[in-house]
Amino acid sequence: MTNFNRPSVFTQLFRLLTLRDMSIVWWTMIALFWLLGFVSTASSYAAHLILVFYYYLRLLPSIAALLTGSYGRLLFSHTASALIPFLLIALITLLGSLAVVQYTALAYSEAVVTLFCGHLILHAVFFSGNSHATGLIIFPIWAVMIHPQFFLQTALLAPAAQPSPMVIVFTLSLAATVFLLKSVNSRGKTRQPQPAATWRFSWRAIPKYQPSLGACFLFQYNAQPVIRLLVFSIACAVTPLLQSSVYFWLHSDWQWFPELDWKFLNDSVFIVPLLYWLIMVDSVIARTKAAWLYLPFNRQQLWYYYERHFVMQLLIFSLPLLVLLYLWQPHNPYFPLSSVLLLSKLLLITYLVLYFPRSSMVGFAVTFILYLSASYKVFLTPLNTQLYSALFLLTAALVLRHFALKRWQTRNYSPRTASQRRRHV
Amino acid sequence: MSPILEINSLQRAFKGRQVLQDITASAAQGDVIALLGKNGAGKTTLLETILGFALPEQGEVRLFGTLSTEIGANEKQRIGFVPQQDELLEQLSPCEHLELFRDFQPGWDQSLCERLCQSWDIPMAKRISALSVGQRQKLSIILALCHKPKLLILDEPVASLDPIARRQFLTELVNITADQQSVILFSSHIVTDMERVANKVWLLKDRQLVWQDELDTLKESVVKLHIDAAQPLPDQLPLPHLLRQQVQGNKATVTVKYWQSAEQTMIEQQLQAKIRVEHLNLEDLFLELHENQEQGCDDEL
Repeated sequence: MTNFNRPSVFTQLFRLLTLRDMSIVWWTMIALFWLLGFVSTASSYAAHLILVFYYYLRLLPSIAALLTGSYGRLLFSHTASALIPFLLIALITLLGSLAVVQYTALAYSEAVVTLFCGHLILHAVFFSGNSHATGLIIFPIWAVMIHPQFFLQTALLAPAAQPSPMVIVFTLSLAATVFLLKSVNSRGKTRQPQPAATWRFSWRAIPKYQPSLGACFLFQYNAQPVIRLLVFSIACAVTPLLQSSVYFWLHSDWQWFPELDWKFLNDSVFIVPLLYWLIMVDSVIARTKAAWLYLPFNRQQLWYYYERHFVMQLLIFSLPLLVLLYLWQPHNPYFPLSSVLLLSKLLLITYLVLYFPRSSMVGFAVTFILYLSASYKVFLTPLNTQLYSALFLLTAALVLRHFALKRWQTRNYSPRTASQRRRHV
Repeated sequence: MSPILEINSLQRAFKGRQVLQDITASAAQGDVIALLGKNGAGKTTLLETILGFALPEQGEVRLFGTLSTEIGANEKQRIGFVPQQDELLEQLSPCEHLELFRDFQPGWDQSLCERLCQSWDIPMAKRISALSVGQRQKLSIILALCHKPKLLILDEPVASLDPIARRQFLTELVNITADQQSVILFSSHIVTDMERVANKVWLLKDRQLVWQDELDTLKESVVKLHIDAAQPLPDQLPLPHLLRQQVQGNKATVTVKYWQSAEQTMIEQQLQAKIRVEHLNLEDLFLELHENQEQGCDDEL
């Protein structure tokens, strides 16, 4: 074994906290919100939210992988390895305690003890190297932390500070402490199982329930209408949720479609769903080559197959989209016309992408047009403006369809546009 | 026996630049064809045009009697294809990917699949996005082989495989050809591998298919002559079908095509020299056939 002077524990702790590429940026952001927390309580909440997300989703898996791996054995002494997890827990407990104290009825000492025990248990699971257990823990973190009124519901943490639940928490924490010390001490003696380094929280689209192998390759998502409806609904709900969160952050009040002066967010209400649709159509078309030999169609039939599929998806998409349009402005006197206008935009985008498949310049142009045309102000215009806009968009879509159909008969599926991941053999 | 693959006067161009010119060829059951050509010679373009990814500017390709641009489910399920860069569903594990194929491919050979997965050490539970290039290539090959295709097209299938996997892959190819009477058309730069399994050679050069015949015929036809004369030889030897020549005093090394052993005595008398005939392996043949172009020797192949 190579012997060399190892840096101090605190230097190594700093290196671990800045282990990932963007760590400095994240920590700066957390520090900024944390400092603002002395002025605005909402900022404390934001700081804690970012801290928990970043630390558990990105940083801790990397730290656990390094500490329990072969490089960890080389770079960290036994003492440092045993100490570092507890220092990390202490650090994030101290950082998070401010928000907890501000938003709950807990005393500072109670908040610190409760948080410390909670983080201790979570760390024990991460250091166990069981990716499934880690994954199971992440979901409750997302589910609980994303709830905007998490800290307002003091009842959520308060019972945990009561004697009976605390006995359970302390017992679990004690077990976690023993496990952490044991796992770190035994790392040199026996080979550790593969840590959770490869685990990443990501949406894993499984191309199930597709009618053919070609469709699996082409669409690469779960084809069940209910799942599609759920995904489309999420795309539609992103901006309103963001608006409400920003409003909550500024005014400590929860409102649906609040009146905000943030033009970018107001404009994004319909742009986000439309962009999602654009990306979906574009990525499907990009996979034509991969799917071609598995699609039970010839070239002529392929176009109609795409069209049928996108119309079906559009029907599903229109449901949450029109609900969004209605909720955004319940008293819109021209709601049916606004709906037609919105769906016309989707149709135009579809045929534009079909006519100019995988073209970055066109993609940029479409995005720009989208931004201009999808502005919420269009739906507030007089009847005639909306009517003529819808007619224009529908006519343009029809013309584009005619030319796109011709182009697809002779299209070359070969050119690769997506960068292929290459790994070392 | 009707050919499985027919190419007639095929032409392809990219942005006005001719890539394939007047390609005419065919392949019938039992043919294992090695597609040779330098980098950028148009091998991948040819293979992709055969499979209907793009329309030819002129000419046509027929697969099982149907135009490649018209092929439907009936023809496609009899084709296996391993692309140069795999097109796997990265979010799945190999196990899930194979299950997906098994569910949709009627002729799926599960025992072959299990045997290959085991011998190639495919990590079945790992996500495909986390596999190495070699492992992904192996999986692509398994997916292309196990539904027992009648036409198997492989574009650089062994580029990322280790020597053991390469040897196993070649053995499987031989077995498939023997059992299923398929057509196998594959391109690779590892020419020694091709020589082991191929019975035909297609050589792409200068946008054209300059050689398409039996491998043995090629080996017998193109030979290297080591000439040892009693007196200095002329700079330009008067030999027919000369591909390449290297003259140094009264010794010369020349490569000729359409060689017939009966010609040897006649040339020996003509040059007043002794001639030793060297039969070349496929790699040397490939080099000789391409080097002559750089030296500007002789006629077109």
